[in-house]
Amino acid sequence: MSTDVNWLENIRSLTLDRQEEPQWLRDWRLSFLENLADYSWPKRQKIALRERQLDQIPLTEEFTDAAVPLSDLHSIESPLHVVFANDHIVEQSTSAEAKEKGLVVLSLPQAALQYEHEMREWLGQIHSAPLNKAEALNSGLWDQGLFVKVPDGVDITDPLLILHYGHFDNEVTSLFPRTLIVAGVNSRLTIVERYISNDFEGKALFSNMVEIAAQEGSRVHYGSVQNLSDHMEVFVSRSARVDKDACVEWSIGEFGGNATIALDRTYLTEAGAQGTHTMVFFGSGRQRQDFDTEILHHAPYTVSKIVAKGVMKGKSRSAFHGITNIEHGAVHSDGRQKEQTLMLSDESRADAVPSLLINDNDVYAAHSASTGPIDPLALFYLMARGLSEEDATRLYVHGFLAPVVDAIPGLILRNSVWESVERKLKA
Amino acid sequence: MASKSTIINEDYQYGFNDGDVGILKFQQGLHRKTVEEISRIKQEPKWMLDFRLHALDVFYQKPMPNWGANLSKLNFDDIIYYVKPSENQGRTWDDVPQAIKDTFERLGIPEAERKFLAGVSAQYESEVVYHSIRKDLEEKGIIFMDTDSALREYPELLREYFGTVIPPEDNKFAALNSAVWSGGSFVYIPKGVKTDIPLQAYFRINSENMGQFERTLIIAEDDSFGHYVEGCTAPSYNSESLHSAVVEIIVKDNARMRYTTVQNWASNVYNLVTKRAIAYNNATMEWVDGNIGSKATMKYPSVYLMGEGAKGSVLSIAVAGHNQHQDTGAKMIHLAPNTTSTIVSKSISQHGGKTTYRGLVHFDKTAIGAKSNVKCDTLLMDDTSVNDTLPYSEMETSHAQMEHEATVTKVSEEQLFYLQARGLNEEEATRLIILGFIEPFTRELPMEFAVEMNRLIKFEMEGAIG
Repeated sequence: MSTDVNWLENIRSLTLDRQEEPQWLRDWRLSFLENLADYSWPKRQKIALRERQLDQIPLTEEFTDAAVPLSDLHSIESPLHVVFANDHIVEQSTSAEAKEKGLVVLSLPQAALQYEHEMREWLGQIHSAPLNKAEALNSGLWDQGLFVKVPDGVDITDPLLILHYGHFDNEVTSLFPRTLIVAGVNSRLTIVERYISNDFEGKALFSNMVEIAAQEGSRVHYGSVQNLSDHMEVFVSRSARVDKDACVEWSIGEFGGNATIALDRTYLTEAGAQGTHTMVFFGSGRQRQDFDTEILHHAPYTVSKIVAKGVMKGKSRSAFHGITNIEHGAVHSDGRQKEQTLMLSDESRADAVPSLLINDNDVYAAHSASTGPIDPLALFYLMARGLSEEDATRLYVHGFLAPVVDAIPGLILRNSVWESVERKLKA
Repeated sequence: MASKSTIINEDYQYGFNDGDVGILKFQQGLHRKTVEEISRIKQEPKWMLDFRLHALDVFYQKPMPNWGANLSKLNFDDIIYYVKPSENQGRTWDDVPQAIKDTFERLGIPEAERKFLAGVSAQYESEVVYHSIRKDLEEKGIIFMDTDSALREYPELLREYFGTVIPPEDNKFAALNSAVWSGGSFVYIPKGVKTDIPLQAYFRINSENMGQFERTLIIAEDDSFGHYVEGCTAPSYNSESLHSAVVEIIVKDNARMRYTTVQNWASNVYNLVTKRAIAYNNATMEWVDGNIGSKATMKYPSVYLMGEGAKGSVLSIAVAGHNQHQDTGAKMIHLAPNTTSTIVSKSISQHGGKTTYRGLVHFDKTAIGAKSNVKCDTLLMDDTSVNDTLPYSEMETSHAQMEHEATVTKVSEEQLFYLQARGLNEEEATRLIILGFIEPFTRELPMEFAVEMNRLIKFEMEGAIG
């Protein structure tokens, strides 16, 4: 598909020309599409991507409208929200507070017209390393996307909820959501994105990109819960740039997808920057999950923490790579990692590589990792008190995840993670 | 400041060389002829020549590793693959040529033997030049000799076990060793026999551009116990030498084997070593591994836990100074039920040196009830030194447990202050902290080596400070 000239022409006429976007943005998108052959799929040791024939998945030529299931619409519990169906904004609500304080929530093409400066400064600029093919496809083909800007000094109390619904069928076989968040100096924002889809049996490609620019003194809490159908090939790329004394807190739940490959990168670029990355994943069936979570300390007095908790059941496999990278000169930095995996079935597999790359001595870095089964004594204890094995297991999983999930700020996000865990326990 | 103190010697104390003492020295470079010639000189059986030639083909086919230490300056054509230092192996100390004897006197071998050690074998360049074993061990049926002699005297044992733990196909350097190996130790401990004192070997490279490829094979029969200790040194030259050993160990049911290395190569030696043990039912394999010297070391002692209840442990320290990269670690492959493993790794980087811990703990489906515990600690002495910690774990069963911990820190100001408040100067305080940091390692060394290790650290710190 990638080298097919007709395909590119179709995409150009159907998708790109429909967008009312300035020339520079169109040129930027096209630069990825025209050179698609130069990009390759991310190379993961534990997932044979070649066998999955990703290049055979047809790309969506036109994102058709879809109706979001009512039950999901009703689950939105914040006056501040945006609902996407097939990457089209179908509903948007702004609270009186957000309106008053000047919170900007726009589609990316609109933002390119109204906030050209920010768009040029940040879109595609935070993660500078060479992109992989999933990222290049997203960069060229995102449809509406979302731009969020919090003005300097503004503290938004309500969480901004974003629901992404993908309705896949024979026409819509790929989706490329993209979110750009710019947090102004000393601003505060909590944003929660949820990804759901219908249960389409065919193969489908989902490539999502999130970029956060956290300017001096700002705090961004970004939550994401992914519950896409288990036929989907899911690629996620999230990156944040954290300036002086700013803080970005990631709370990520990865539950859906057939293969899920998530690359998370947090750049602590200036003194006092903080990054925490909390991840909960739950694999079932034949799911393949592969996570690369990297925090880079570029500056002194930067602090980071990676916490990952995984539960594996069925024939699922996971690989978690945590990388704490402290560069030379990042003195007085503190980087920590903790990874725990609970194995519920004998046919599941879990790999962990918690790496520390340390280039300065005046720092503290530590990690710990553990993998193991349910403690049979604990299970016995619970069952001796009258619980069925299923309920005892459920309770054990809750106990295993609770220290991490309950520490996630925001009731809405916590509930969303617990609901996903319940769904997976029953899967 | 703590950052000024030093632990490893940049004026290498074993850096003397003895001039050219070889009676037979090959031209530089590796060809089919080189391999055939080594085999001819050693009058080897045909199967060994075939093994070597096959390994050479594998060596040519295998790519260089694209990870780990920087090997770009390693040129296989500059290496001398075989040097024979003396005509015959000395059975008593008096038989050894004077120049070589002087070297070993300086290293302290005969003293060690007299006082303490069970058997001493010393390898100089490619060949073992001096070898001795205590009579009572011989009477118990323990075989301890160089691998070349063993090939002549115990061909059946060699044929049965040689290359079974680490086949040439394992990696490029194992293939190279298999093609041009010379010397090394062969140890055979019969059923039920326990050695109460360590068997010891010294390896020394003397010539410039020398490649040393010793091959060690240890077989511990059921219910036996053995402890093997090796030390390594080399003179300092401006061009690079290569040490690429293969160590294969088979620990049978209920047996226990310990293998201790103190590697103190000069800073021009590439130390690329493959060490692997197979542990059967309830067997115990322990690697105690110290890496102080060399320009670049890539060494990951491993244990394949094949039998139920087998135990593996690796206890290692790595010290990297200026222009050094110690890329070391351990591998534990759990292939049977109720197997357990422990890895303790201590790394010290200073003066821009780099240490890497690269480890793997693998649990196969069959490793029900297996457990592993890994602990890695690193001290960075100054702000130009570097550490990477890369612990891989692979879990293919839900009936096993893996735990891993690691820290990277500097010498704590509080500890320094505490010690200095008690009247120690900063150097003494730093040294004490470092000795404390590596104490779990030195504690496990034979007394001799522990003393030498502490002396080495003291001497070298003083050397650098004075």
